[in-house]
Amino acid sequence: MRHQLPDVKIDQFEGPYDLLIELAKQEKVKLSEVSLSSLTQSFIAYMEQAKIPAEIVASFVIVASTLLLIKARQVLPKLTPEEDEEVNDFEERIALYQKYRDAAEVLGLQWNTRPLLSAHFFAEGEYNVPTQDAPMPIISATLLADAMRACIGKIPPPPQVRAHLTPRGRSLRELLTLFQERLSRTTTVVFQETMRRATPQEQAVSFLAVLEMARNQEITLEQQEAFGTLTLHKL
Amino acid sequence: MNTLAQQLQALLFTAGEAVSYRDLCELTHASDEQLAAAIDELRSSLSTTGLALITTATHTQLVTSPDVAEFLAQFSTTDENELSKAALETLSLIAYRGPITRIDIDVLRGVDSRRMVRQLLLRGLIRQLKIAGQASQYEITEEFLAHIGMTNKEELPNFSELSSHEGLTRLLDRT
Repeated sequence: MRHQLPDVKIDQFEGPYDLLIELAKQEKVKLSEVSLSSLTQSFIAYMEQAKIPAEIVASFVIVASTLLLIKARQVLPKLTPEEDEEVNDFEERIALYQKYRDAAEVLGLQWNTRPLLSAHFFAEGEYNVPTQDAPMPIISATLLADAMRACIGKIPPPPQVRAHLTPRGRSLRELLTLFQERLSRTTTVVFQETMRRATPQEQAVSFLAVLEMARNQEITLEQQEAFGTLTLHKL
Repeated sequence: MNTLAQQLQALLFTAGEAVSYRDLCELTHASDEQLAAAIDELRSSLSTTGLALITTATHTQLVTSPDVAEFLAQFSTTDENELSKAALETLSLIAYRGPITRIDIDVLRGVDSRRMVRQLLLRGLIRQLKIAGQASQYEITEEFLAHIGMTNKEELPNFSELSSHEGLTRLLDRT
């Protein structure tokens, strides 16, 4: 008859003693020489079916062999003194292990429930030593390029030119006075000659001034052809 | 006038983390015995305050007192990383019997504990004490005590029984 696999889950690093105690708990027996032998079958069945990592399987084999020795002792009570010692030693180990196992359980319950805190525990920006739990962030050329593009996208466009400041030229009145002054000293003035260094704007305003003077009958204007020399004659 | 205990308190306050006895002796020009006396003095003078001293085999640290731990626990978010059963088992052996060699841990647990020990070292819960020409020993850190809410490993449940268990001593002496 195939023994059913005990419903015991053993972590990779929880050893054979742990398995033995779990089995005893499940079969509701106290750990003693008699009960240990009764657990032999379950233990070996578990070993056969569970995938125990190769690196720790030896420790399970040692325990299994000791359990078999205990079982044998009940059938053939005559053992050598060394074998007797081995069985006693084993029982002692299991009992001792159980004490620490219990203590560990108490620590587990208390773990992190009321921690004592170091200075600046609540301070912001506390320096944390990087641990293995902090994996290297994923960085790729594409991600960097995207981030760079995003940064560039945030740069505001250069401001649009709204208005030009230009030097204000002489006014119509000023230019009018200028021509009147010239004509007070001479009888004729050639318009083009007065405009050699003038800006287009000033030329236009000057022309208006000249037309104004003509309208006021201060001068007469003479021009032989279109775009030809314009001469001012004082009246 | 300032006493060694006062200097010690100031150093531990400004350090904000565990400081080794060796460093403290060097910084205060005190002998090992003077330092031990000053630590006792500081510990008793802190007993009516919200602070306490954690002491291990090699280090000491100024922390909040166990009396206010419950009060403070409401403000601190607890570490999500729980310890596995095997890790706790290894840790309790080191706490009760440390400084202890890895071979002795293996004997007591009946299984290879190498990876467990490495994991605990990485989490800063134990430290390795290297002794020339001998197998390394392992001892709990202040961080372990802080997590468990104790200032001293003697406060562990059944400490005297489990730390000097007769059968255990016999077992370890044999190996």
